[in-house]
Amino acid sequence: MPNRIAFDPAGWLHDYGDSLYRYALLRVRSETIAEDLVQETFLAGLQSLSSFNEQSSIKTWLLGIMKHKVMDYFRHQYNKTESLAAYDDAADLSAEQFDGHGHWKENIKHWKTPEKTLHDEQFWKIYQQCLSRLPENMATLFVLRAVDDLSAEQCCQVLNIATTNQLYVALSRARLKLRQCMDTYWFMKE
Amino acid sequence: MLTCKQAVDLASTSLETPLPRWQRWQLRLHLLMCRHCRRYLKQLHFLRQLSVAMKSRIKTIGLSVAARERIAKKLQQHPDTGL
Repeated sequence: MPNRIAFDPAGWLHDYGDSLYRYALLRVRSETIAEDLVQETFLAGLQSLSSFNEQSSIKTWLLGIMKHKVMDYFRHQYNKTESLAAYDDAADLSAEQFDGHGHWKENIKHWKTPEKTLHDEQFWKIYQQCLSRLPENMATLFVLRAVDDLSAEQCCQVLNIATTNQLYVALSRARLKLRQCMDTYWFMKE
Repeated sequence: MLTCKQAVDLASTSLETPLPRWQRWQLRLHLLMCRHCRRYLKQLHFLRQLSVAMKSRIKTIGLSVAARERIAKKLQQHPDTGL
């Protein structure tokens, strides 16, 4: 017999839809996929209502389901072949910026970053665009490390990366690319 | 002596995990002599701040009306809903 007190899908959608959506959007970076994950979370919640422990809040419980859904999504995305191919691309990224002797091809210019930059909508738009230009797995790596505080080992597991050293190299390439994009489209345009 | 390409990877890794002593010295030496890599490392710190700041910015975003309706419909169709 399902728990009637918690059995309120319309109420769930009203009360928790937005926060679950934000959680997913921040991680998967696609509105459509984030919406699908919200739907899947609610459906999984309905199916496993009997396992709901009333000592935890519905919000925490649903968020727990969402976390699993997001991780499943990442795991599904980064099967071994895809992940290795993407890191080969990553090696090319650094070739763009360094000459044959390993020196910068172009000088790194100073960034002016006054406090007001972080309140500038246009700045954030450019940042989002630069993030979306990163290969999918690199962007995910950023989020997993910076937002979710996942350990290096956990990131390797989710993204199917063999060693933490490979992970650090991938992160370094992602940062190179992101920096270059922000440099071109924001800092050198000012 | 490290190249800039090697220094960049070490600088990035130093944000993730403590470097072994030898690499730490190599990086420090390179940074002393290379203002481009010094700037690069400073910019990496700034980029890291951005990913954290983005977390608080996203708080105002929510499901669109269309998505909300679509999900509501799907939930109502579900046999466990009992509607």
